[in-house]
Amino acid sequence: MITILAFLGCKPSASTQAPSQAKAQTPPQRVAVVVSTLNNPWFVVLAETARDRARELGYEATIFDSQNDPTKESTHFDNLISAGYGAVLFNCTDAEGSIANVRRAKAAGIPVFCMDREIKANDAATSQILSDNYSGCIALGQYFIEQVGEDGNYVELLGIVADTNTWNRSKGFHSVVDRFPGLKMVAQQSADFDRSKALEVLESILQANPDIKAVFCGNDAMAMGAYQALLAAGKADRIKVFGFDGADDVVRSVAEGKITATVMQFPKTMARTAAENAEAFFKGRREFPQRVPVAVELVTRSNVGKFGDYGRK
Amino acid sequence: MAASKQRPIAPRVLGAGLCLSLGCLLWAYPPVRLTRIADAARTQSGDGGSTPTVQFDPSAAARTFWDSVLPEGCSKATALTEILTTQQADPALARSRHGRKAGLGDTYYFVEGCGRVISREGARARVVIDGTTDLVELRLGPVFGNTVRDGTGLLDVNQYPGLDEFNALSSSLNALVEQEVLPELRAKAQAGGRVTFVGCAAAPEQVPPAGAPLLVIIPVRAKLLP
Repeated sequence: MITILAFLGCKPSASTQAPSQAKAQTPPQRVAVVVSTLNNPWFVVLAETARDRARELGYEATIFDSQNDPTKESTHFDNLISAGYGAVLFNCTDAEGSIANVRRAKAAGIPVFCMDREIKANDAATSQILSDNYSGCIALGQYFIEQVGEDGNYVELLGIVADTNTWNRSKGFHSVVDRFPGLKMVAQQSADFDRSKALEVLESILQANPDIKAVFCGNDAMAMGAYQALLAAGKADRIKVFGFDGADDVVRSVAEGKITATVMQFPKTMARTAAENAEAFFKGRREFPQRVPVAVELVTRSNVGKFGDYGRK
Repeated sequence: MAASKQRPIAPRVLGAGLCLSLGCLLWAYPPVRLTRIADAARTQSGDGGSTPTVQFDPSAAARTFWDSVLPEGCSKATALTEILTTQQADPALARSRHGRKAGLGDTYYFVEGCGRVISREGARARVVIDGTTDLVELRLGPVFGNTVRDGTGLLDVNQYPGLDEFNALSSSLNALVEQEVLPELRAKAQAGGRVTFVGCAAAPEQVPPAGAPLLVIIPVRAKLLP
């Protein structure tokens, strides 16, 4: 009995512990930046800005490239969950298919902050910071009418069909242009937001539709590919090209009078906001708006001087 | 004392017991679970299956807003004279003080005013606000964009299923303006007449050039005065 009581009274004393054990060093939280692709400079800016802002705030941050492949994206989530990442800054490959990945992270206690691309669920991501693509393309559509006129044929190159941005942009554009019955869309085809594919697709479309006045492209990479196709066909001075993103090469092209207009998204704003939201989460905040639209701006030859480096100068 | 002879457990009783145990185990942890396709789709799309899927009707949502929320909301519109005075001195201050926006989106004003039509050109009516020399423009033509949806500050993107639906709502609201507000103005607003209105306008970043309207307003309520 005396022995038992003696053992019950024994407990480790803090003063007997080594100083390194008395206060365990907490490693910095790790932030995963999962981006749809690094094969497009716009997404490189998005990912690198998110990573850099997270690092500025004191966290370790790593970029994971999904290469536009939902399977690769899923594998990234497997890895970051098992590796104990504290937050995900996420640019999805598929608005529907990516939901499951976000749910898995959430179930593991890892907040996910979506950037630029929306996932179609309201209770998976912690917050979604999204470009207002629809209103951007309304402004572009109105400018399209001014520049192209109210009559004539045009072509639309769509982005990735599983991306809600593709349809937000297309719907915004058509909400204006379809009000003018003299304007006829003679072809609408996806080029997957890809420059090379856009070149091939437009070359093919031009064979069947040589007399078009304009091409509306769902992103700037496709606009550059379309412009190349028109150059090769000797039609770049007659057919107007419209893009979306505000990529540096297209902004320069607009300034030079080659591509007619684009819409500046603000990848740096979205990326920084996502990283700062992750920090707020680490510090205890739990209430975030599910969706935060971010304004976009029409870039034309008359105002192009205000823009550069994926934002306003 | 002779050892007692134990009676062996009947094999049938043992077998029945094993089957019963196995049955209970399989009932609790079935190897295969049958799920309806609709339920699986709801789970995949983010609804855990606890609520039925309801198709969003943007026209109905716009109508509900137009009839039930906007009338009272109009009483909260800012007097145009107040905004224009501030805007001409400091557009940034006017935006921060009176602007409304969705998230990090564009900034708009929700205004009420009264004035005299001084000119009419197609879908544009230029109006000088009573008691001032301030010129604004009422847009009477096709309505595009999110000025109406975001300008009132009364609609929250997070009350809707997604951006698609929020944008569809915007289109429906624009259609209501075109159907219910603009026809009379287009038909009857002429130079010399007076008009009172409530409307939404994009908030400019800079003071417009001399002679240009200070704001371009899409009216959501308007009445021509005798």
